[in-house]
Amino acid sequence: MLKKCLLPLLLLPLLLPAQDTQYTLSGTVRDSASGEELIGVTLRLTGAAVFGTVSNEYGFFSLTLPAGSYHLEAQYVGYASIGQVLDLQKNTALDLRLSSGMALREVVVQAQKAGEHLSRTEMGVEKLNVRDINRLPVLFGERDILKAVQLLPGVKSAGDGNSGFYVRGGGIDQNLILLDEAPVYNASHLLGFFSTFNSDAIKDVTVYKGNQPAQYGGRLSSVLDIKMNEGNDQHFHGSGGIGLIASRLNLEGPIVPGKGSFLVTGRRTYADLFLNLSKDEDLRQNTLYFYDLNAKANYRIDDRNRLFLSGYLGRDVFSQSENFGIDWGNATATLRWNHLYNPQLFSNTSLIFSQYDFKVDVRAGDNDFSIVSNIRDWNLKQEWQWFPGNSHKFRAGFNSIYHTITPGEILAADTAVFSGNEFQDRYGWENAAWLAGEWSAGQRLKVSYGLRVDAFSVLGPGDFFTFDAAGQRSNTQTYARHEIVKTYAVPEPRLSASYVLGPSYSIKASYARNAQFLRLLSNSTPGNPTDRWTSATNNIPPGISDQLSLGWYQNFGDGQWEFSAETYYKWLQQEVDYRNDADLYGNPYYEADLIYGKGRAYGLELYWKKKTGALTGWVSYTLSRTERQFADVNEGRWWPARQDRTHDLAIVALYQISPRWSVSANWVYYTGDAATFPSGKYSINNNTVFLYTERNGYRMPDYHRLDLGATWQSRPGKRWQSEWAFSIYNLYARENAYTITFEQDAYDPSKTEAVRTALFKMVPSVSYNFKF
Amino acid sequence: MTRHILFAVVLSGALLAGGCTEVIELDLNTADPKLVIEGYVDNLPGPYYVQLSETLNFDEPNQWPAVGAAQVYLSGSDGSADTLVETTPGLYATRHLQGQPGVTYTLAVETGGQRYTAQSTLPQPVPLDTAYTERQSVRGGDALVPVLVFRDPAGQANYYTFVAKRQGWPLPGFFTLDDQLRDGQRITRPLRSDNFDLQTGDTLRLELHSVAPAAYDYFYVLSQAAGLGLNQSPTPSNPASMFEGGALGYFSAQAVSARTVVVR
Repeated sequence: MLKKCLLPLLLLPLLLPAQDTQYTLSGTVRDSASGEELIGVTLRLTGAAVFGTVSNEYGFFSLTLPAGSYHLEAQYVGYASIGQVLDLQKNTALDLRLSSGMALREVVVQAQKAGEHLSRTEMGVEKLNVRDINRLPVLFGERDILKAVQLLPGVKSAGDGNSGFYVRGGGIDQNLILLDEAPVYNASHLLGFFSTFNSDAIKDVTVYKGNQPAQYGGRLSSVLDIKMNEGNDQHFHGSGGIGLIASRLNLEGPIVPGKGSFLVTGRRTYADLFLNLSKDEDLRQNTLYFYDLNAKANYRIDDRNRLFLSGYLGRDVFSQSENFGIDWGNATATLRWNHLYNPQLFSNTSLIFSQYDFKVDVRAGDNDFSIVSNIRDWNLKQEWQWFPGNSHKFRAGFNSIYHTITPGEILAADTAVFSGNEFQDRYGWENAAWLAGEWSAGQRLKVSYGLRVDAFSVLGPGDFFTFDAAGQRSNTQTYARHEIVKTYAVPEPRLSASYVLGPSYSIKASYARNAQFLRLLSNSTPGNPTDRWTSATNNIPPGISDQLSLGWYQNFGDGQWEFSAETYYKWLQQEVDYRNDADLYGNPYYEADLIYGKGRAYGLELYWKKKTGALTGWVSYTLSRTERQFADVNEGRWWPARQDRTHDLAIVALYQISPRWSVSANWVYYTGDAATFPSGKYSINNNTVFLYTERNGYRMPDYHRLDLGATWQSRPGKRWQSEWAFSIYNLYARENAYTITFEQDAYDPSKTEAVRTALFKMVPSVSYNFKF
Repeated sequence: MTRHILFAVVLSGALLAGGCTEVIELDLNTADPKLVIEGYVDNLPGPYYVQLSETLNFDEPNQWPAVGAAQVYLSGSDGSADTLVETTPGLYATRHLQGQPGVTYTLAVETGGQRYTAQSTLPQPVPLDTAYTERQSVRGGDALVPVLVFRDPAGQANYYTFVAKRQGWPLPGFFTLDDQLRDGQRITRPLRSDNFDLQTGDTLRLELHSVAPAAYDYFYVLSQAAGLGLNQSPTPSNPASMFEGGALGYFSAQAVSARTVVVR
């Protein structure tokens, strides 16, 4: 249906009556000191009429305008805006350089009255300012973008101190986390307490809460698009930090000044050194650490061609005395080529590699075994961006990913020998193509539209099973190498529109469909490094979500304050759950243990944000419901999903006391997640067994926590800049429940009791950061 | 496996911040008492027992209410039949029936105006090659662990449960295994637990039970739930009922091979 409507729109610019002579103004926006490209800079040209655009993910912009004289303004949060007069009488290439600086902020305020916030069509999208993230109070002094993301409306933390998150009711595996376009399959370190992203290396963080543009796909709930810094192309610089549990070092500089730069960032924890101080012999035998390494280089071959190479490598190592060891990690690499065919046509080609793997070693007498599991992607992505005029922009592209999944085959360690059985690798070929446009229909209405088609082919070689209704294997079919077992194709229309109602308010509406072919099977909370990734198979269909959103956006106080209210309703198909006796590990027939149902999620998200002044920050509040329906669970009634959380509030305040001192605070409050608790007990073979009457029929206790932070900076102007960052996590030492378990009373075996485990009581930390 | 990982989570938490546990009061629902049936028949000489009890609310002491004065019948597809007699309150014993491999048995219980039935076929016994105890690492350090060794019969699906008894009482926990990954192999199965508390000189009876798939599934679900302790799965659930009529519990026709060992 929608596709039919799209084609005329696409042709519109070609049908428009020929206007006066038009010329193209194009170029790149950069930071004046470091040469870093700036993403999302607003450009406004005022002449006979007003025109505007925004720099793309490579800092590039292009706008085709009638010849004439214009006043050009470029604005970017945290940077001084610049204005210049421009006489456009031919195609013009323009390199714009913006200066960052606190003192100049007032200038920015002046210029941001008609906020881009109001007119951009994207909804449910948030861009995080890395500078703000670095000022938030943190756990153990480790800055963490994923924990900052959790303070946004509609994004919920997966647990105390955990970097996993849920977006609008979706599971952890429904978030596509991209680091320089490469998917990161497990974004957490140290069993969830830290994210894999070292914020020293990060330039830009954007989260799309389900209404992502057509160039993104493959996950149902959200896209977290993280871009690494390019490195300073003018001068050699270093920065780093020494914290309680980890240290970091970042080096960057020009390869050829003004033409290319590099960046290398590393981090290593040393928390396990504290284990050696323990009196407990068993504890001393444990090892627990992680490291990560980011590296990036780019080179501008000429005005039309640029190459980028970036990579990430991270690893966690844990071993428990000599009996058990596990290590896991991600590796990604991205090679990109930017090419400008002409000032109106921009192209990017990416070749991407991504891998997540884990290795388990169990050494217990005769029962030694190792298991290696991984998921590996080879990924080719091509996109063209076309800027044919001043009211239309287009994107078209395709993406082809070859997945290899070596399943994580684990036997419970107390179930004896691993017999050395080999499990078949699984292969999948995921293809996507998209076409999208953005149309500024006058000063008030802006429409973005697009169609993405995702296809997934399950490929041989391998044995594929069919199961009967009772879950018994009824047939096995063997496929040859590269033979197609099954192909799923999902067309995904995306549409969003904004309408500016008055000088300081607007409304927006949007609809998007997403499909997901890879899923994470997990029967634990909040997720283990050994959770099993599986692709769609002949038995496992892709998940599909449809999301509809409506929103109201308003600016107050000359653009100092932003307010938004968004509502969403999401329909989910083919959600996965497990049979009661599901065995997900060490079981080649695990597909028979999966059951499928429907989901629905809806909510209201309120967001007040103060963007400028000495006091900045935000208040975010989410009221939501997330439910699922499975024929075999709770007698087919709708029941709350584990991540169903009714109220979720975050208050974040950053205050600049003086040029050198700043303080910050955040307070988080949410009502408890749904949980399954026993409603009775009975005895089987002399063991106490709990009786469950309803899935997720109970609630965990409410969660709340106050964190404080303070940052002291050395006198500006010197070559060596230093900073002390102090944080107190959970200031009033609230014992928030990490788990609640049900056990026999240790002193009176005839009784049973509920036991709450709380992880982080008050945790103070200090870290020292430097820059040169 | 899951245990190790979750131990690591708590360790990381404890290491970093000093996690803490506390007994809390929770307002849990109460449920009407439900009938629990534990019944078996095996290939060894009888009597075989059926225990009837009821569920309790979570906060009540574990004094399991016995269900007396029920009618309990056991019959086999070979024409054998027996009416069980109540020996102590809630405990019913067969009088003369002898379990035979290959026979399908039906247990019928009538109480409170309801009838509950379940069927189970007694598998062929699988002999134990040997059994012993040895020191192995379990969560929280080393412990003496019972080990059973046997050869799985090739070319058929086999399901096992394991029981260790001390002075006639089963040690806590549920232990299961299927031969899906090791059909026809020689299997060494340690029963690892950190709360057996075995002492040198203890006499143990180690039993290998060959069971029907339904009984395996039942005890497998319990082993997942009970073995986890701290690390409960986010969606714990009851094992599927084996009884028509909906009682909790199990009925298992099982082939037993046993050895007696002295802990060394």
